[in-house]
Amino acid sequence: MTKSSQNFEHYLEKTGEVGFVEQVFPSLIYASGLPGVHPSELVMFESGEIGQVLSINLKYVEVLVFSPAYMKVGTRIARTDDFVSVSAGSGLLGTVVNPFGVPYGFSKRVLGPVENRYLDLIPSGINDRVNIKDPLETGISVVDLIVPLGKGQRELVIGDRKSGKSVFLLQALFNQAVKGEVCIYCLVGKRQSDIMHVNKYVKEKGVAKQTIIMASSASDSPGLIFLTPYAAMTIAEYFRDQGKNVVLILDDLTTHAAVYREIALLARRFPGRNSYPGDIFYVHSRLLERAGAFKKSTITALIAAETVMGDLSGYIQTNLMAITDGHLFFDIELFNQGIRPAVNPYLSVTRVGEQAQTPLVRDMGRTISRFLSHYQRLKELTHFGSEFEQRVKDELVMGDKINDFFTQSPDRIVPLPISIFAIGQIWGGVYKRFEAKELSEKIRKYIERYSSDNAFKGLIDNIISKSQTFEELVKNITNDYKEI
Amino acid sequence: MSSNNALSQIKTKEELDSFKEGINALIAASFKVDKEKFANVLKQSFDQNQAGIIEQEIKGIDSAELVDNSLRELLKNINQIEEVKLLLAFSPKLAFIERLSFWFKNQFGQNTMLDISVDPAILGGTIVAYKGKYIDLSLAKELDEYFIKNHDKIKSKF
Repeated sequence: MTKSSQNFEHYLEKTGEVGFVEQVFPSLIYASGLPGVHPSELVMFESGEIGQVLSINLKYVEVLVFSPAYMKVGTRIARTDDFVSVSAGSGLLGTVVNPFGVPYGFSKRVLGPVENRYLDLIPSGINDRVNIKDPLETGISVVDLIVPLGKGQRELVIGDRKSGKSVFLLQALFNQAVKGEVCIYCLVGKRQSDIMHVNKYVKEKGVAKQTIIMASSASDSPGLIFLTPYAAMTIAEYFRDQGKNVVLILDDLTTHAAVYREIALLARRFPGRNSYPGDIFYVHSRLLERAGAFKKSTITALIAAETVMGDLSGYIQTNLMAITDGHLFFDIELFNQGIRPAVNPYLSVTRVGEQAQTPLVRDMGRTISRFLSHYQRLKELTHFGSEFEQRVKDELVMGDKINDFFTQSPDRIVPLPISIFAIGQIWGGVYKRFEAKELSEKIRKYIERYSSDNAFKGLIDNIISKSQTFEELVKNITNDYKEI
Repeated sequence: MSSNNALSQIKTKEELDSFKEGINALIAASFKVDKEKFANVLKQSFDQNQAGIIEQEIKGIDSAELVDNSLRELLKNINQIEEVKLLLAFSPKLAFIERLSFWFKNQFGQNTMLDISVDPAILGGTIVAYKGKYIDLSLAKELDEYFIKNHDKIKSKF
């Protein structure tokens, strides 16, 4: 629903009820009248602005306003007998829209069919859900192998500011969009420049047709910012119902929580921990519960959350960890050491991703993960400067090589088969004498050949398909495919 | 006196505001001045009718504290008066307002007063908003409906 002053008289006539603004707070107003109004009902002001009923008491109706415009005391309000809805449909693909589905000025117009869907819906029940069984490739080797994701998973992407979360999210979006999945990037209360950046990225990468950018900027009213992730989820549900897999990126829910705290404090709700209202967990869980793997298709939610100084024990952060199926921790210390992406595999968790992997990848992930922990301990020992036996030296070299391989520039997407093959080669000692740059160059060539050379692609896929375990894969590679 | 007398005297929002202002002035004066000066404040703050009502209200009360309590009680009661918002096409004269007030007080009770505003665009009739209910009884709406209903008939005459 959009701003329209013409409709005001219509709604007044339709419902036969009127209210008057009595008290004004920024983004919240208290109104008298409207005796039959329902909680969450949409109301319209005579100036054409719209708002949503937050609560009702004997004296006043509390309304959350979706516009930053100043509201005058005495302004008339009409009920609409309707609830907040968003335009959802394939016409939105390629556009940058606000939470009502209205495109921004710089965006392409909405062309094609859309339908109105209510924002606040009850999540689908257990009968409509299925187990997560398909892997979701992000194109980031360390994630795809060590902390794998599945389609329908809700994974938190958590880390300090500027630790590479958004870059990872865009890479994952790109990798899924080129595979034909519908991607929705939801920016919650971000700067205009951030919205433009995401828009530019999807256009430059040629995946705009598969992407919807749902955005609210920091200058929007808190009410509108609060609605943003719900609107994005509603659009994701539309595509799910069409049988299409959706990747939904919510960037980020710590801002969302801060905006909700602002609204709740203005509404004089009793403040709880860190001044957040008591229902902040419910606000996020009822949103994220709507994602998952369904009989029709899947909604994979990648949820960004910010930490301060790498502290994972914050209130909102732990809430989100409790709601989601795991988290990828972007470690600012690793980032400062030059490791890209700065995913800390030891502090990252995936609860359901492994069940979507093939036995080979699962075995490989576990072996590498175990080895990296061991390598980490060995590296700590090297600080003592003592002499090591050859076996230890070899293990240190191997660890370095794996880390070199996992270091991935923002513009590089590594297909999963290439990741599997390359790790197999590294484990088999193929790159023992390679410098980091040489290894990176070799992988770049593999990626290029994999997408352009069908024979090469067939060869790699064949090696992988005939190996049941990691050991078998390494054996196959070292015996037959050491040099390709 | 019950505050009903005061309530029945208040017909419009302007009267309510001036009545409240007067009572606030009296409350402020109740502890500061003697009885004679208090009577002066009373006369200055209210018209004759309203002053008479207040005098009745505090008649026989000697203590300043009890006068204060009584005035505060009165203020509390008049704050609960229900507003009937009326939109008219013209600025009504006093006699008309009195007739309107009489009618509304009879229909909705003594605990009501009128908040009248003027918008010539409604042409005639009135728009009433009371307790959140909205009824458009304006001539503009009647004409709109008439033209919509008889569009073809009117067109055929030209």
